[in-house]
Amino acid sequence: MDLFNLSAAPDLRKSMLDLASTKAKATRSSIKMQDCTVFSRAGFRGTGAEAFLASHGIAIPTKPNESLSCQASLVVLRLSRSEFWIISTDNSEHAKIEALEVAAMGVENVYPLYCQHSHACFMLTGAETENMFSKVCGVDLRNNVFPVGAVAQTSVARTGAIVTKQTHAQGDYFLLFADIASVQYLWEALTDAAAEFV
Amino acid sequence: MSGHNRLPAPSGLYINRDKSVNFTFEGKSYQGLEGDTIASALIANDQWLMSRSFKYHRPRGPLTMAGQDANTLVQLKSEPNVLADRQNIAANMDVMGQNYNGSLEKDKDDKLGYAGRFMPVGFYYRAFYKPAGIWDKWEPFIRKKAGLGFADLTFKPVYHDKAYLFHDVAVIGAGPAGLAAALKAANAGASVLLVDENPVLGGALTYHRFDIEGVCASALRTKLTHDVLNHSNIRVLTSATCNGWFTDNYLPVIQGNRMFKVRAKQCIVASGAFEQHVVFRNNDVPGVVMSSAAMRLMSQYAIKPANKAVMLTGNDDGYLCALELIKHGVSVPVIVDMRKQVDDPALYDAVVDLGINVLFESTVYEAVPSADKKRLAAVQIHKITGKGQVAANGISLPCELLCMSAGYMPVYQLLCQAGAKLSYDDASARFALTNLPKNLYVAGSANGMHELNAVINDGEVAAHTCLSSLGLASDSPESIACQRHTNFPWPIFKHPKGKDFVDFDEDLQAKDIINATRLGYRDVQLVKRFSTVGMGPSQGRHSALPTARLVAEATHRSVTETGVTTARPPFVPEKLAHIAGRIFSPHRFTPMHQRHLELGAHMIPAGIWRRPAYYGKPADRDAIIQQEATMVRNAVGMIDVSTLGGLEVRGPDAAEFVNRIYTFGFLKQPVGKTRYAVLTNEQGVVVDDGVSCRIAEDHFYITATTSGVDAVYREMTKWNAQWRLSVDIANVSAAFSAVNVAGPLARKVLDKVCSDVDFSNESFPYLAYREGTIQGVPVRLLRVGFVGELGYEIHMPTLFGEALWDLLMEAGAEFNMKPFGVETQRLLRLEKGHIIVSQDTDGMSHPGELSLGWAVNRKKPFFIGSRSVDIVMARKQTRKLVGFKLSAHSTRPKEGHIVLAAANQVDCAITGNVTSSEYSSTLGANIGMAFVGIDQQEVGSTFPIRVDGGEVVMAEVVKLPFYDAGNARQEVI
Repeated sequence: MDLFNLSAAPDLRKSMLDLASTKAKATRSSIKMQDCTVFSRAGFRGTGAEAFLASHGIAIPTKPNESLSCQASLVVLRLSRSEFWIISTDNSEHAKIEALEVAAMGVENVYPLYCQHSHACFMLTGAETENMFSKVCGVDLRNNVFPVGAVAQTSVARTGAIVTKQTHAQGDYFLLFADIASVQYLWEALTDAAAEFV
Repeated sequence: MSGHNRLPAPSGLYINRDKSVNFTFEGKSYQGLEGDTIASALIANDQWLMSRSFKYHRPRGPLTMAGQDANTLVQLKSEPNVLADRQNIAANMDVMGQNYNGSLEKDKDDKLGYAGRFMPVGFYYRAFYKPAGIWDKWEPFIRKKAGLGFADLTFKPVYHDKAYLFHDVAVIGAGPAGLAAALKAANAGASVLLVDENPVLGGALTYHRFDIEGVCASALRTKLTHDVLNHSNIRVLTSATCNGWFTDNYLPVIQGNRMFKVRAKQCIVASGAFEQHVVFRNNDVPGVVMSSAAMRLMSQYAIKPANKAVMLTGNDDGYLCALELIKHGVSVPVIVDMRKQVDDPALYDAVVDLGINVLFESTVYEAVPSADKKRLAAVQIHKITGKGQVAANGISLPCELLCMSAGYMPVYQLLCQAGAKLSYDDASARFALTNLPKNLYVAGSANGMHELNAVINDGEVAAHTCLSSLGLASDSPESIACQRHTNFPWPIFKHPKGKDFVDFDEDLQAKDIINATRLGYRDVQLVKRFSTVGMGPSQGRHSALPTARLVAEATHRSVTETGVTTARPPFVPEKLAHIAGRIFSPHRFTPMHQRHLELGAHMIPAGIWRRPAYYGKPADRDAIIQQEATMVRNAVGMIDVSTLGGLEVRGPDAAEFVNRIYTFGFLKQPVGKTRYAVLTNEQGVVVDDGVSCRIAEDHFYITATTSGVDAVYREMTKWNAQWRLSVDIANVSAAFSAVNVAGPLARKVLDKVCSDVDFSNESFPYLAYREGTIQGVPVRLLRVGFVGELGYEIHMPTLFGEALWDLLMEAGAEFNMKPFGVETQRLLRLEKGHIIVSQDTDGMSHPGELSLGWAVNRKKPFFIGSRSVDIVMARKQTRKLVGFKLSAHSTRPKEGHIVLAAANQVDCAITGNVTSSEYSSTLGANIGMAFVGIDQQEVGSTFPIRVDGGEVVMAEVVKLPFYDAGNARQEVI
């Protein structure tokens, strides 16, 4: 027991999001949202987590509530002094993430987290995204105060959420992580909020 | 035609002359221009009568043309109490007057004015109640007369929402001070939000005349607004109202159907000043307006307000207004100046040059309405002989318009909401706002500045202070003092025949305020509550100052000593829709949600989750539940229990931590075993329960109730902040979905899908925990007996929930396995005598009452609530949760029905209540659980339950469980 591999069977993962109900609104908006819930990710917490990740070549943000992009499509979030999430933003790094999770088993003071299955993940792009967020979130996510690499652990549409801003070749984007059981509700709330930005 | 008295351009800042708008008022068609308010469009068509007053049904027309008074309340099709001088006209809009009996023009209730002497202030507190029972006669009449307008009950709510805005500086008011402040702050690099309630920037610059030539306002407004609108650091919200001030500059700003929740590091209130009226007889006749209202009509709406007007003033601004009237072709034969002399002699010369006669130390003592009472016909002018006193005889002057200006009162509401102190100097009749909180500033006429250069300078000074706080560099402007007097100290001329209104909203006359003080209400706050002065829609904008003056005079105090009434949010009436906004109602679905819908589940809320109650139509509820229960008892069924809470406790101190949290002993819980876990709070009350699975020496997985898990997690983290045990605590409720496969054939279903776990009774006994894989998916397996049958809970990572549900359903098909719902589960667990915390417990339930003493380890040194549990269980017990049974033919009690001490005694004590109740086809009886008095708990005895309709049924106390007392079913081999 206690060898529970949360990265197992990636092909059997299924997001419970039903996009049909919001398709019309989403199509009109200049803000584009992608459901990345099934994309591979892993989380680690504990006083040994930072050293563990560093030993596996993972670049670590220097301060809590920061994120950075490393190794192509990997984004690393530092949510506290001792909590880290590693996200594959295009689902191309499953092997690396699963290897990390397997390697962490039994490592002292490193506790694997359940973020793969506890959180939905949306990627949001578009110039008006920060203005859309102002309708659903009490944190100022405008570019001048929420630059690339910033992380907010906040509430979005009354649902606990983690928001980070990152950049890739196509430009800046937001990643939003929130309660997976609320995925349908939150998607609909965000689609509604985004609808005015055409 | 959009009105025959329109002025040529450039007048008409708000209107679009190229676009006509047709609407109706009182059923009659009118035409206005785009940008017109209802009031301006009506006045353009010579319709001054718009409303009827609240108490006496007196004819009323606009007073301020700025939405600051209640004289223009009208009824729209779907909205009552709309301010006609604030609401823009729209195509085909139907507007009606309100608060009349008959028609607006001929209101049968206008005779109430003659009965005014029988309706003195506060009469309703003393009338209608004696003799006893008379209120029932009065009530229908009063209810018919009460209220303004009609609510459209067929109205369909429209979309409203909210949005946050974040700025370095919020400037409230886009008059000259606000514009100057915004520009200075923005030029220094601050992010500025500029809010104004009007559609066009400029404040007083859009209507007021500041110089004899009448040129400076327009030029200045053009420059300032151009600079503001083209500044990248300034966001402008027009037609937007900052409706309150809350701590740390949290500002609700309403614009259209949206409420902005503004967060500003610094806030400058440049809200301007309310012009004040003069109190004299009939000062409410349509055509008696503030001088600013006349100037708004001319400048903003291009309307010539009358052919002949009289100016009544207590300051130099009245002269400027007269010049503006003359400029637009209005005859102004007389300026009635309450003062002894003019401050600026050049102004006097200018008006005299135009042929205007100035009467110093005079006032209008009475306005005379036309014969039909719908418009001003003349004014009666008297010489002032003393404070509030006039000569016996005066002169009468015909006119259609009387413009009045007694002075200004700061728009102090937002500032006073922030804790600012409004003080008044009786000698100079000037106001001052002090005691502002940090990061909040006042500028412009709200700050007592009434000269244009001083106003602008004051805005820049406020901006500089903000910039200093923000750490942004800017030039420090020299402060300019303003000593200009604008307020006439006693513009109140009480008339023996009354109707000299202090408060137009509530039809309160000068004598009403004085009489309130004579009845002992000396405090201005008490006067307000007794007389209702300042409690109408305009919230004392015009009544606060004359009330304070009258109370001060009547109680031989100064206005400074008397003070003014308190200002509270909202600044203007706001709709509940604005407060509600777009309603966010988070709800959670399990991964199998779609499958439940496909299977025809009747979904019910469980906290914020949606769960299947049963699978079928509500009309067939009872039968379906019995069918589903029979299936589980005799074969196998599956229920989605993904909503169960899940908590992970990992680390070297995990066992010690769990042992301190829960009542049972967990230090010696074997790995691979589960154990019932009860949580009490510090008062010894059972607040949650679940199952603790020991996965490893240093790893526990603990379930919790659906609605309680978040609180349990908070408790755990809170306690460990004190204990500092080496554990990691994680709430994994959403990370795991789960099903319970239950029934005699459950093992056969599991055997088909999970090959790496031995499900035999020997290898996987009751209360054991195992891990395995199903199609490569890791799962946690708990051997449980919640529903009283052989059962396995399968906990799987959530993203696999639907796939494994499908797999299990497919595996169970050969055994005719079907899903069952949460209501069926409640029946099954009731038959087994298992409680549900929060359904069968309440805020007082301790383990003894619930017969959970077996789950409390009294030997261990500590668990949360241990001391309290000892105390409450040592006390004399007063009630007990028991099982009860009634015949199948008896009326079935419902949850919440009360348990009585005696069946036949009407006034007997209530000893408890039913917590669970259902018909059990397995037992052929109605069964349930209830709290009963401690003397009613004996098995075999009966106790009375009062059910619907007052019927009392006798229930028999039954030893729990109802079903399978020997636990043979869940131990099935």
